Amino acid sequence: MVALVDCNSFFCSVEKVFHPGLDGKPVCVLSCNDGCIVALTPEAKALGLRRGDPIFKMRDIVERNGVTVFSTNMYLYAAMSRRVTNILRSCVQRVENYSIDESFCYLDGYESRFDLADYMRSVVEKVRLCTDIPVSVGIAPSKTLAKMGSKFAKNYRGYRSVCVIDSDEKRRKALGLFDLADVWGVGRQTLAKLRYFGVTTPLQFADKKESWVRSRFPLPTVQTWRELNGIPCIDTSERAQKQTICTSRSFGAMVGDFTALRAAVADFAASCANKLRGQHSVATAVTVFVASNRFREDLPQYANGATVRLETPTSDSIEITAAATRALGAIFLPGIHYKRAGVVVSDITDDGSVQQNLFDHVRNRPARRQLMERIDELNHRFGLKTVRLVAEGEQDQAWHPKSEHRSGNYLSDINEILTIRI
Amino acid sequence: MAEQGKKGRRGGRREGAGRPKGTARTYNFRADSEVADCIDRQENKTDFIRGCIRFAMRHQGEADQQLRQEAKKTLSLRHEANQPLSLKHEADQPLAKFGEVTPATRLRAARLPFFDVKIVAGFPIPMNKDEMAQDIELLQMLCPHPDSSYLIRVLGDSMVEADVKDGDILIVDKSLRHPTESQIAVCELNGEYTVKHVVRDCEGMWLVPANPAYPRIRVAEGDDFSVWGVVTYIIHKSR
Repeated sequence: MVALVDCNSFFCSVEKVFHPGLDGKPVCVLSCNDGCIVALTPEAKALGLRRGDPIFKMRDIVERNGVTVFSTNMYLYAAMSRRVTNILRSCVQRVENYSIDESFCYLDGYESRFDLADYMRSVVEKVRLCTDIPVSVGIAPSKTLAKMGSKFAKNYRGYRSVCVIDSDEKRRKALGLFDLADVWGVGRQTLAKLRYFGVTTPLQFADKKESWVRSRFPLPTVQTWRELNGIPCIDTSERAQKQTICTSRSFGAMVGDFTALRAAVADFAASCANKLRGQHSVATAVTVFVASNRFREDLPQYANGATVRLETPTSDSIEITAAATRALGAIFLPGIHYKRAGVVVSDITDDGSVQQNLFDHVRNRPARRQLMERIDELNHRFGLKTVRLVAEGEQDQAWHPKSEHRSGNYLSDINEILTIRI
Repeated sequence: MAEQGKKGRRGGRREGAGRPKGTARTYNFRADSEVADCIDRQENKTDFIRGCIRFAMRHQGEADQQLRQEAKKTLSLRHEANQPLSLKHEADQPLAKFGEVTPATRLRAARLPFFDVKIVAGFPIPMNKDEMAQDIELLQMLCPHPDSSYLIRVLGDSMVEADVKDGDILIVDKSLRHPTESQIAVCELNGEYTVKHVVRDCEGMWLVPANPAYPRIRVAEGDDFSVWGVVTYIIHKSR
């Protein structure tokens, strides 16, 4: 049996830990750049707000109902997420952090000693005591069913935070009540195809013959079918090195000037290089893309991208930034108000298996590598971007994302810890 | 559920069963044939064995002294008299009848030379764990449960007599939600955080400051009140 532990409206719950008086109040957290709603409490949902709504269109609802709005603070959420995972690890031997607010707990062997629902309820209580984050748990033979169970546990109070799908009867009942579009692994295209074949509930899908599914759908859908029938087959543990790394952002204010755009692109490139070093890999291709503001139809529209291939695979900030700047030079058009840009590094391989290049223009690679290690170390100790390339420019420029309602880094910066006036 | 029902009916502890707890203890032992024959010949075996043991205890003192003297000879051999193991202080005199006395404070020092003895050279003597110096884990000491501990800075002097000064940093354990009256609690009252003692009396609940210049705050029925956590340490920078 496997349990999925899902934090209820996680970002909002974290904000509520550090802001008093928000219990039972509508709260929402905005995406980077204060654009859309990315997380909201049930109270905010009840007002008609939805995930993905652009906040500027919802000003009216927000102001009339006194909705508390926060900008995303990923440092804070990640720190809190680590705490939740650590607490789960102290209760269950094998825990897999699936996303910032979801973890799988493997309960094989626990059923002989504990009542799984009671055991997981004690875990829920421990998480609540230590962090004040409410969590919902689904327990089932497969991950897809466990995820489904956690949704039931979250939406119906009667489950007291834990929903167990451990018999065929319960499984069929759950499948009959669940929305096909919300099944893990069923995307928009699969959903349309299933509807085309007349399948509208998860139960109808699960009751099809395996040969029927196999002949019409790709492997991932077949896996989902098996999971829905209680056969575990999705392995989330082997998430290999990422094959592409992308850093992109929409700007706080539009940018028309080449120097400013170059600074943004250099910043993204350096961040890609840093992520590469973090997973011990190197990349061979650097792609840059830029786009104007598609909501401003009165302005000239433009979007383009360019890729530069490197002679030697690298994770060196200087090389990757230089390549990105060259790519930008190829696609930059003056007179455009850019709203968005991004850098993608691809053709990623392990940094232990780099083919040496006889005509390498970087003369002393080991020294450069050491330099990068030192920079990463300094930035880790003194804060991000303490040491950066000149091309990345000054901090705090117009292109930096807006975050007007960001709360403090209560868990990671001693200067921003919660302060109470007594 | 079926299993639990079974557990209710069979097996497990029965209340009041077994020998009542006391200071006496039971022993099992094996005796060789000669001793066994002797015991078997007795009418009351238990009394006989008890008598033998009491007799042996009376003579234990003398035997002990002999043992100790033998031990002293061996030790002085090993030490070649360069480090006197025993201290013959005035205070130790009454104890001297038990043989050589090593004060507890000297135990460690007294034990170390034993490992230096050349007689046992050739055997690798492992360093005892007790002697291995361990660094003090300050963080571990101040924050034994990092996943439920939070740092909070306080501004204001309402808790000054509980050693919480303006600008201090508190280590708060969030998993503790039931503060005693002497503990310092971080509370949420009507949409604001505060740091106070939580006191209950016949009139109800109070948030009590540790500074006579501030009033007690009554927690009324309809108030929105909860305990956020309990202060475990106060970090105060010495100025």
